[in-house]
Amino acid sequence: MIKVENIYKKFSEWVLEDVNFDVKKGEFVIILGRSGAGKSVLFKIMVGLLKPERGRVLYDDFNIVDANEKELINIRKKIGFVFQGSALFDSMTLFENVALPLVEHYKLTKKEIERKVLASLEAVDLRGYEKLYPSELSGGMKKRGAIARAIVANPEYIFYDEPTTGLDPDTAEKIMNLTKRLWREMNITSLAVTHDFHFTKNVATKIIWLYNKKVRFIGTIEEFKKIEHKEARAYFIE
Amino acid sequence: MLLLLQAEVISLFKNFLLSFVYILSDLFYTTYEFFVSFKYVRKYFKEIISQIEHIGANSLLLVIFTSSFVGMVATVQTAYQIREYVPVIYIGSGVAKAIMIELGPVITGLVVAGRISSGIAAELGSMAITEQIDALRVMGISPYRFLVMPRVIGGIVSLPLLTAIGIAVAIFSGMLVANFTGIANYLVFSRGAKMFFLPKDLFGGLLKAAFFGYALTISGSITGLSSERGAEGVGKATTKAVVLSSILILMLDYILGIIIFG
Ligand SMILES: Nc1ncnc2c1ncn2[C@@H]1O[C@H](COP(=O)(O)OP(=O)(O)OP(=O)(O)O)[C@@H](O)[C@H]1O
Ligand SMILES: [Mg+2]
Repeated sequence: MIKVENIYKKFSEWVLEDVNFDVKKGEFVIILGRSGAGKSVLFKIMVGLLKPERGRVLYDDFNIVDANEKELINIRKKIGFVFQGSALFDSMTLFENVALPLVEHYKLTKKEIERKVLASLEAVDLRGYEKLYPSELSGGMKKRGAIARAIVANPEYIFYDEPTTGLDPDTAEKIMNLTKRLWREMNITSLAVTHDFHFTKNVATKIIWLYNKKVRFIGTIEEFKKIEHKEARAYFIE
Repeated sequence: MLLLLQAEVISLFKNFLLSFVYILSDLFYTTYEFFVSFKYVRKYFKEIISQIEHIGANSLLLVIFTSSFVGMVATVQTAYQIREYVPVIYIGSGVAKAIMIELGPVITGLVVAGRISSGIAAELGSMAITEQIDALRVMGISPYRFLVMPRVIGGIVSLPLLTAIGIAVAIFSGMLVANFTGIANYLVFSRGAKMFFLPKDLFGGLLKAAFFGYALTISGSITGLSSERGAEGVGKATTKAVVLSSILILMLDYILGIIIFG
């Protein structure tokens, strides 16, 4: 379980103010918010990449905000993160990219690594592409490669930063189904930030709406549909 | 008007001081992280070798080219400065010493800095703005040990090698020029070069080169990793890398000069 408590973050201006919510085991939580709302910043705070000005992020009661590097690494082994732009390493093949978390943190034989990497690539439907470099992959394939890398070490939690943004509807649909399948079949507690309402409708068990630096709504999709706020209504117009 | 100008100058100066302090703390921190990462040398051995190859392959021709001119210029200038008062045989000694102690390491360092530290800054900078550095960190992999350490060791190892080649080329080209312009023939020049040769000169020069290798790779790493968002952030980082590494090389040259030869 992840608890986000009283998070405040500012760069030159305040981006987040008093953000509170929790993510229970087995949930698929969607954080909605428009561009620049601080969604990526919130995610980065949740995995310890950015320090908030105030507040705590608890993983099963362990606060990562003032954890040291060693403690953070232990938490991060439980986390898979899919970046907005995929962030595959340009200098490595798809195989090496996906293998990296295993190579770095676990004492496995070459055989075991290969088996896990190929299984992971299989899960995202990328078998046969393992020798290619990121520059040789399409946007959707990169996204799937990034997902393969995120799940290869069997995380408890997976974070998707805008998994469908910038993809054509077909590819977006594929990614959506993939995230849903991983959530259901591999039992990974999932979080995504997005402004894609179609995606949200189809996967979310809980919606968190960020608006004007604050959390304005937490609840199910049915409850979200009922709120009257103009900005919230805008999500339904497609 | 004057007041305005004064305020401007003061604020410029303040900014300069601030960024200087900032860079200095970055420098110490990155150096600290580099030493902490040292225990991973065996794990990243292959990557270190490939960095050495990369630096060598990208700089060798440039070093040979610039060094040959350095040797020629050093010979002609030395001859011009001393030939009236000092026996010709000392030209070889003076040129060889200057090249081993000073010109070889510094010119090699600066030339390689222009090429390699900007390259490292561009590479790490574009990784930073495309969230690849964040991706590393979120996987629990320190960018210092994964990216910085192999590059810095690559610099520390390859700079003395390149400098040794540079020194040899420079002395040889100096000798050729001395011969063909009638300053001193081969025999006189090389006898002069050998006459006062001290191993300390050569090894001191190569030791300096190792420090320059450290300076230019760490400069590229620091500026690259702290690159601002956007493509122009990367561009700025590469420029900063060259400026920072050049300044560091010249400062280290002075400090090490005092320690080794003082
Ligand atoms: N490293 C940073 N330095 C300075 N400002 C930042 C940084 N990261 C984010 N910001 C600022 O914080 C605000 C929120 O950014 P964030 O990337 O979280 O938005 P977002 O909700 O993810 O938007 P998008 O949908 O466009 O990805 C923006 O105004 C951005 O400029
Ligand atoms: Mg974002």
